[in-house]
Amino acid sequence: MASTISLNPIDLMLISSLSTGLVLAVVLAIFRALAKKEMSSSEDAFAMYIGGEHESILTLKYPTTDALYWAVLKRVFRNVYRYLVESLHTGSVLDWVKYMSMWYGFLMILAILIVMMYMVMGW
Amino acid sequence: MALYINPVYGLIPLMLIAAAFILPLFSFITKKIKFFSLFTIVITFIVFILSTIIFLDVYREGKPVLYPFGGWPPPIGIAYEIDLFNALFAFFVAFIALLITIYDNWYSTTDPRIHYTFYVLLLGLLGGTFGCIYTGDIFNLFVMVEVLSLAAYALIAFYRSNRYSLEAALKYTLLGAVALSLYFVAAIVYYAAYGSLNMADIAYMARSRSSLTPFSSIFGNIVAATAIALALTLWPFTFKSALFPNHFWLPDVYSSVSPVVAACFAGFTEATAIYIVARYLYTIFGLDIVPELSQLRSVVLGALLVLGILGALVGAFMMAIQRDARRLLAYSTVNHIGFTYIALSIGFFTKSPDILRIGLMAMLLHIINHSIGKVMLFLSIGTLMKSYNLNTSDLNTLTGLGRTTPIAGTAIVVGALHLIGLPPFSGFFSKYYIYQVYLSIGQPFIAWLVVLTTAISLMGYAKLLLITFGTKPGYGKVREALQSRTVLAILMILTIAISIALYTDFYNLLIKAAESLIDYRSYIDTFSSFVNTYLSMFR
Repeated sequence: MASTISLNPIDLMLISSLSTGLVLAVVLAIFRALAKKEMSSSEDAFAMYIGGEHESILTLKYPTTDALYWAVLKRVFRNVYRYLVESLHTGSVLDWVKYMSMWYGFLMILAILIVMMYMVMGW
Repeated sequence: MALYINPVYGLIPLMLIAAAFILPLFSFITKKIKFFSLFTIVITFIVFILSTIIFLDVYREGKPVLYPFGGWPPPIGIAYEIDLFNALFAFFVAFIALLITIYDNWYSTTDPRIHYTFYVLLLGLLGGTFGCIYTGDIFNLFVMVEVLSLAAYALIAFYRSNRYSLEAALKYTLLGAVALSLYFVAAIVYYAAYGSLNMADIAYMARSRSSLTPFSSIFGNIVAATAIALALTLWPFTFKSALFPNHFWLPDVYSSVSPVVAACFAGFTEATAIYIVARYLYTIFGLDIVPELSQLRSVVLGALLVLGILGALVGAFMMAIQRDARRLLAYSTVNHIGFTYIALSIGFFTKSPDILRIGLMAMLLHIINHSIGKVMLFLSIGTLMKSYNLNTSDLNTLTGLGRTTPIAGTAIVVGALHLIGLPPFSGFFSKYYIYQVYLSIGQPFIAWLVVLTTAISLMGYAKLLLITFGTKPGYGKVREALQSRTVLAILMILTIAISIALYTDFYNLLIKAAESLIDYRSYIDTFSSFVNTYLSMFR
């Protein structure tokens, strides 16, 4: 059975702030440790390709976690973005009206249904 | 015998509109924009003081207060009815408006495109907003939304040389005019069915079975008429509050107007539209309405919940692919408006006042948090744009510039973390309460969606953080204006102060405010006792 722990706001704030601080400190420590290696490479290594990726990518055996994150994200949400950008947010005012009318249409159909329901029920 | 009514209750909208009309007269004496800006600050400061007095008065009274315009008693005359919810909300709006006008004293006065009419419109926008918040009359609400909207249309189109501003204004105006016309029709239907336009009067009749007169026409029956009128009411206000799918105007508007105007929109005009929806669904047609109407209300709340969830998701996804900071903030607004409607729709699952007050408290806190965060981000980006004389808020251009303006750069980080909902910023608490209230009613899926949507939105906020954490070689430190530094510092302090204040009586105050929204009895009693006292004067 699930249990719910109720905390007063100040305890909640302290616990959540401390745990966030702890997580941030750990992430920062890991970042610092990894960033050191990065900084040891020469200035030229920072030159960017047109694709926006680091030159050092050519020496890597596997893609970076960063690149993996975006690749997975793009793959998982490709269809979502295709719909959002190509169908929903086309920028055409007529498409706006189409989607906005859906919500208005729903409200009107609901209103008319209720009117009909009560009329049928014998007023 | 005379009936004493405190005139302060009705003063704010009138004063703001009068100030908006008086301001052009000063243009015969001076053309200095600094003067008009100072005039606006002084008026907004007086409004802040008055709204504080009203709030304290309502808090002390412990029940709503009523102000009849021109001494005409409601339901014949227009009446303002102020309970703790709208008193607190108006107080907050006045505070945010004051901060925005102080910031504007630096931003707009150094902009050659700004004309004194900008301040006429700004005061008009505020007048309309306060009228919408305080009014207890359905038709007066229409008039005040008109005042607000007319000012908003012109403010969006203010940069006449910018074709994007004109395009955004045209789209917003066309759809806004249609939306308001629908609300006008709704007012006609309410009047035809109830014979009254007073909110408390309608709230009373919606709970009385004797109002269910069996006439054959639609207008003869309050259930049929309310169904149609409510449909015509909700569409315009979900449009004004930019709830999905009525959010399309928002990105175009935010990305083409001055950051000061965008801050006004994000700071209080959208929040006011949400307040109106809550007033309709929780006070006028709230608990204990006749069962026939109650079914309708449940379906409407269910639909708002679905739209809230979709809005939160669409906003979160769209944020990640934006290249313009202000467009990104527009989708962040769509995301947060979604959260606010999720909290507002708690009435779909429960009629328990104990749960409702927590849910509506979460809604109010989220409105406050979102306003603070969004105003802070818009004004910070405004500071960067102004400091470097940029006409764009393209993220690639802005990346790294946050380092050169320490206060604005810090405010961008604080604002983003606050909106993500990271403790100790108060943005965490409103999301936490929304999450908690849905868990407590056995709806873990919705609670989980709040967390998931927040996680998706991180992709977008990460781009904003790059403004401060990114690097841009060749740019030195820039000295920020005093107004910008002060306003941004106050907003940053507020994000932490609210968290701490939740431990004090502020939490109880929010709960009491949420209670007053669902307490239709006090709302109706204030109205009926006023009418009885008024009539007894003539007996």
